[in-house]
Amino acid sequence: MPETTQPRQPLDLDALRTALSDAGMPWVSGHTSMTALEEDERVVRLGVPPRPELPAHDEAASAAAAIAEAFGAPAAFDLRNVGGVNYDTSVKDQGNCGSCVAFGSAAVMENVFRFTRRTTTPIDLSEAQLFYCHARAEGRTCSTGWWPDRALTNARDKGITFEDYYPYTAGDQNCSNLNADWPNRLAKVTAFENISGNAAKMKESISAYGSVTACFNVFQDFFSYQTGVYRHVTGSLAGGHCVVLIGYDDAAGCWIGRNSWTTGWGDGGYFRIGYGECGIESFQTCAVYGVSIRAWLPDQQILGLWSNESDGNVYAYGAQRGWVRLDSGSPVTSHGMLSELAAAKALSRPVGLFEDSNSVKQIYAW
Amino acid sequence: MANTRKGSPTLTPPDLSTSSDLDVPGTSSPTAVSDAQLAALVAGSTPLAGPTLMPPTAAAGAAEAITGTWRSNVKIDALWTIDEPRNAWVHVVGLGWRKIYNGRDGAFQALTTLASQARQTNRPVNFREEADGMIYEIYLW
Repeated sequence: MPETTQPRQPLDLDALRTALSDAGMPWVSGHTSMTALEEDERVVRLGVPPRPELPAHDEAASAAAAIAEAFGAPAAFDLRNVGGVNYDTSVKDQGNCGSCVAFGSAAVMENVFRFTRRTTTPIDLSEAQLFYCHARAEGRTCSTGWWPDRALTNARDKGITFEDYYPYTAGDQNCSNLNADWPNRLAKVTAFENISGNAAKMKESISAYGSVTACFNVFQDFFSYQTGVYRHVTGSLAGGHCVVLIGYDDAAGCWIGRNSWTTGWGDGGYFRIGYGECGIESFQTCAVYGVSIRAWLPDQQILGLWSNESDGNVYAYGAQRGWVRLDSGSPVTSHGMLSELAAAKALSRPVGLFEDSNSVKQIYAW
Repeated sequence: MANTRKGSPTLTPPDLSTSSDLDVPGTSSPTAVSDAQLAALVAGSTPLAGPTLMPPTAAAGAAEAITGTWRSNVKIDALWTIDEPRNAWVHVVGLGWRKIYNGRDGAFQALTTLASQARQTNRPVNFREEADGMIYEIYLW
């Protein structure tokens, strides 16, 4: 794992409870999936080179985050409940490998895909390809970790396939398990931005696109977090870590994050961390502004069709997909697709759509 | 997904009576038919639930609301066309005849297909009409 500047201390839950009590019990600690591990197993689950120069609590960053509402973002947001709909994908387990960057980056892509389309269609991207192929090509391994801006650069330029084309298992691999057909089933980031240190933009991005990636310094007490708003109270620096942030709450003064340490850690795999804590805003934060896929979308019920005064500008609403543009290579092509989808819609029959770069390229209407 | 080709046309359709260009959109209009006459021709329909889906982009919707008039959850109960370029009309229940945008072949064809499909399947539509009285945008639900 990356080196730290302080000696690593084994987790001392009794000392932590005392420290939390002295601090007024800002959060609840206890036995988790991480406290059950040995120290070296815990630390390997961190996968970003730490930044010990960042303060454990940055008052200025906290204050800046607290007033971000003034810039137009809502006062609170939780991707698990947006108008009663949960757009977040599932909590995963990175296992015994410093691949948190792959998990945080795949998670932000999945969430942006779903939230920007207002769809809950299942999507599960391959962390294995992201880490064991793309990161490996940059010399990264389970013991070195990676960076989200590099992961998202690869996801933008090369794309990543779906989980079933390269299922994740923990431990360095040479990419040989990647399905050779992966170029025909992949997702790509269309645009992303490093917004480190800009809490207002973090809130804008989370509330508009669903999630951002974030990194922070992990101290020993974080491993035993169960619920509440985490603030570092005791323990040495263990390493740097990457997660996906899925919300925030100005009233509680915190970000809402999803970790990759199973549902047995934290609050069902989730956590809340105070504004300005452990470098959460300033370590490295990336916003993703769009995700496109190249894949067949089976069994879509067409619920709506749309066009306007622009030639070849026709959209269809698939029940799980949301709005998607029909191929706009020519008005004749898009009109042909419109006619077939209109027939399927009239019959309430499902269709298969092949989507690439945010438009439909091929249709089966049975 | 963003509709990158938004915007209202800036040209007024040319007057066919002073032109011999066969590609110029036709200007004839359907003879007025009263609602009572239509009701006698068209079978009554059961009202359907209104649309609950998002438009392609919220931002686009906001822009459209400023530049045009939106009619929501309405039914089309008659169609009319004539052998003139891009000249088709729809009859909207409670509103009367409206002309389909005639500025471009591809857009005219797509909008006419959506309107015809709405008529055939008796499904509700949302549409945007501009100051020139034509329908520029249709949601078929």
